[in-house]
Amino acid sequence: MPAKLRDRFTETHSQYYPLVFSAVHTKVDNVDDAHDICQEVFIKLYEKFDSVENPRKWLYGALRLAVFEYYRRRDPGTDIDDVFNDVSLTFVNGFRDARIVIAEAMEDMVHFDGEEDKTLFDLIAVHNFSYSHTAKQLGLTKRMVEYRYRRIVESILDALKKKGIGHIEDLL
Amino acid sequence: MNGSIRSFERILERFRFREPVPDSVQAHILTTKRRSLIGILKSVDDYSITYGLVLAVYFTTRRMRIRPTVAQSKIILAALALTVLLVITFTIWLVTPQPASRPDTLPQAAVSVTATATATIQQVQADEKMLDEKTAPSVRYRLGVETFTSDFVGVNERKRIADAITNELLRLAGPDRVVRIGVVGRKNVNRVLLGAVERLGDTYIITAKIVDVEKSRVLFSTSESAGTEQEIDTACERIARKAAGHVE
Repeated sequence: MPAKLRDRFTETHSQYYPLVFSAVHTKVDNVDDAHDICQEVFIKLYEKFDSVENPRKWLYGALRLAVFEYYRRRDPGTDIDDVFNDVSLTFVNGFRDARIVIAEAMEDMVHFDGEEDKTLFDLIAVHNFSYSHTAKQLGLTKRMVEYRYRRIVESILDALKKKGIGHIEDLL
Repeated sequence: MNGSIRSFERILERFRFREPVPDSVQAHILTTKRRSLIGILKSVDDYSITYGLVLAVYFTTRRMRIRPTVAQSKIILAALALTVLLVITFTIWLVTPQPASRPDTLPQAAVSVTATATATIQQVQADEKMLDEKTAPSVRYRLGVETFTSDFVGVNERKRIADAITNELLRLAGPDRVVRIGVVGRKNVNRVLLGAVERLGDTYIITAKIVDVEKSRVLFSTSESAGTEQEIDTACERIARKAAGHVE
């Protein structure tokens, strides 16, 4: 791999490793296994890095497969849907629609000032990282993390308002 | 605003968007990130010690809330390496005792001055040697002959007597052995032949003695008489023959 590409891979790994590890850990609930799966996923990314356009999406896709493989090695009869059961199916009617709206808002990149903002948001909002740990992971100050997270949440709430969810408390 | 954030997070919880990771795992991720990357690069044979140092700089600076790119980390590492090298070199230079300056290590100007001084000294030494050869032949002229003293004959006659004895000694002992005092100083000879001319009636009595200059001791003494001025030369030859044995 050319030096410049390797440098980019290093920066990509540094940015997404916490997210991938967290996502895997929530599925396997074991630090050592999560570490092994992460290694496997990032080695695959290294091998295909030149052709990967969106590393975050690629990594989420690859980790699903890796986790599925992990379970299948343990139990060949494992169904992927059992591992990655779509929780949205557990919601019905209006709640289901509301979940879809929120999910779309959270995925809409207009709320984020780049991929790093998205990582920051996912770490705090989804994986419940503390501001302090998030700051250390991303090389930011705690105040900066707090400020950026607040700005993202405000932007998402504004988007939800525009989609008809005026009072977020109504969803609770 | 904190209330909105809390409400938003409660909604995420309510709609099961949250997949919380324990604090211990968060800390684990932080501590294993660099090791994980190194493991990946090693497994694909794309790792070197130098790149490991670059990664150390990259991750360390990020912990310090400085966020260089990997390329910038390489520059920082190079600057650090250069600084360390300079510090080590300077320390060695300070600690190591300086060798004494030798002529071949002197600056060009100093070399020039030294060469000039050396040449001058050599010239002076050569001149002194030549001067010594001319004015201080004490090593070779063992015996110096002084002009004789007398109250009865003139200075020219006394000089002539001394010259006659000198010439005869030169003939007998060799040209390097005898010299006239006056041509060289008394201090430049080991022994001095001196004497006096007296007159008793028509007879001249020539007395000569050889004195050791260093010991101030008379080594030899003789006297000859001459009835006429012509016999004076013969008397001088006799004195010279007797004194020749004391030249050494």
